[in-house]
Amino acid sequence: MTHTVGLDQVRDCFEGGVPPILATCGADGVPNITLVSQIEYVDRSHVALSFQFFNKTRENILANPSATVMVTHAQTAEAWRLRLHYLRTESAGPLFERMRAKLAGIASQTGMSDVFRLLGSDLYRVASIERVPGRSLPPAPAGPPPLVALRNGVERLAACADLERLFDETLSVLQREFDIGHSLLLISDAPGARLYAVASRGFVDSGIGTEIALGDGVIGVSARERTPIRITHTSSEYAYVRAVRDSGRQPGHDTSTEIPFPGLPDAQSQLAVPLLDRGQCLGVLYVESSRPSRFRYVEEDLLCVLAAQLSARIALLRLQEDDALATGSAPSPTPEGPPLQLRRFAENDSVFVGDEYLIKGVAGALLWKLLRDHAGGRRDFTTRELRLDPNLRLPEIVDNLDTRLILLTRRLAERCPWIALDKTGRGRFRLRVERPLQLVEVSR
Amino acid sequence: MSRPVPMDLGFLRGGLSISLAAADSHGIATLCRVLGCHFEDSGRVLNLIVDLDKAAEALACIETTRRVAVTFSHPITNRTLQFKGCDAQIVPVQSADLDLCRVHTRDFAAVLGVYGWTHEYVDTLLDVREGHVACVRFSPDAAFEQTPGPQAGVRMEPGT
Repeated sequence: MTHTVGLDQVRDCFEGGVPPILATCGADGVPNITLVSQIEYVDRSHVALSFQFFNKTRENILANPSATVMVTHAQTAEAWRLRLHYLRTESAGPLFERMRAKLAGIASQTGMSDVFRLLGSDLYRVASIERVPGRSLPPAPAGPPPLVALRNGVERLAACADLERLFDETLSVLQREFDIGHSLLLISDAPGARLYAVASRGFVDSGIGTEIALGDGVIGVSARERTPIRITHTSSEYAYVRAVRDSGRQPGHDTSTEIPFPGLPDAQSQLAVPLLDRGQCLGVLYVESSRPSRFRYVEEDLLCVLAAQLSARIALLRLQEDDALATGSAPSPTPEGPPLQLRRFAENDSVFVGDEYLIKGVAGALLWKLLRDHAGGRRDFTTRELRLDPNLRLPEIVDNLDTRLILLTRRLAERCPWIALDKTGRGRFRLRVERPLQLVEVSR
Repeated sequence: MSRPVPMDLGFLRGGLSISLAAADSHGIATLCRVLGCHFEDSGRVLNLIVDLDKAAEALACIETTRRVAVTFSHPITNRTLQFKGCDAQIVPVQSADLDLCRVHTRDFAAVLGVYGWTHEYVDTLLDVREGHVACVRFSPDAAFEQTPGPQAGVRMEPGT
């Protein structure tokens, strides 16, 4: 006896372990059978298979789009036959990039890194699903109900009244509700530009301020394609820590203003989920683990929902930023101790404390403006006046001033504790300086 | 009589993943796992043991079209060969076939054990049941290299 089920219910069979097997039939009626490296869930009625080689399978589906794939659950040994209808092949875009990243992990796991290369994602409509009759093993014991954890997490995010708290709470939710201890939250500098880390959890170095270019590794690809990227086994192609170390060894490569990526040295599983708001990528929520296959479809689902909530909260809190005007400044206390030299390099607005790199770019320009104003006797500021300052060159739309201030606050806390930004109200903050400052402009 | 296809019997007896495909007269393909295999006449004839229930659709196709394809794949080296034939028929199961299937299950589990798969899992996956097996017999008329890589799908000629 057979019975049919929805594609969602057999999705766990796509997680790897037992390779899918694909049967096709040529125009001459001759069957063909092959193992497939990867099957990807697309939606409730579509799957995609990895297209890696021009072979008989390729020839067959182009001549006769009917195919059958058998997938097997790696824990229960339950098997299913999916009757498929080939639609098209995609060689770029979100589906392709998702599969390419996963395939890199599969290739690494099976020692086929030199052989496996994704030429395309073959998209199929699922016509029917049939359980292959036979015995099965009991499934793994169920963990805590994921919906309860998600509900708790969403409620905690909804209680956050400012962005800084929201960023920290998000990573705390991952730890406490989902038992995900290594996480990073990155915000996009502007649509299509680099991302920078504003919050992290679980790493030896926080990596606050570390930058990721669009398209670089799972985070950059997730942002560029605006799709989740998940790898269940490590792959040198997507390993940030190694890549960053390697790039640092290149002759002539200037690493003086780079903040190292904070990731685990032995990361096996990676998952990056984009923060989307009306089609724009606001940033990326990234988690990793030293355990292979730590993040499965269920974790991807959970993080996607959490990321959607986070995106909505970010957009809302940015709208609520109070454009308050400065209402006068209290006099600054007299800083004490030996003078602290800060140097600013005009070419990239990088700021160094002594010889140690602190920050660059818009956040660097922002800090320099505050320090100069402070030297003139001010200490209280508003976000509105910063937005109106033409020297900071903030874009008129989505300037991300709020997240840059958070980034600056955190870099100062880590690298220069004698200078701090203290929030004094919505859209207001105070620059606190505890040592005498010597500001040095360096033209190049 | 057709020319014999290249046959590496040593490889084919080594605890491999074996799968069978068949297609109906409308070009709809189906597939199942093979529980065990034995050879006659230096590999000119293959006998594939399958589960009656799991292979019901494939067996119905074979009765109609007599066409069959079978792959032998080593889970660790990924070496894979495919054989095809057009004279497949369902023949009575021999008394030794069940034992052969159990030996295959044991050998396959031993190979997969390297990756941490348990014998219990492999035993459940193949699930050899007395009185519930059938034998598909055919003479391969084509052999293909199917190890992942640029040579995948290349026809193997006699002498290779």
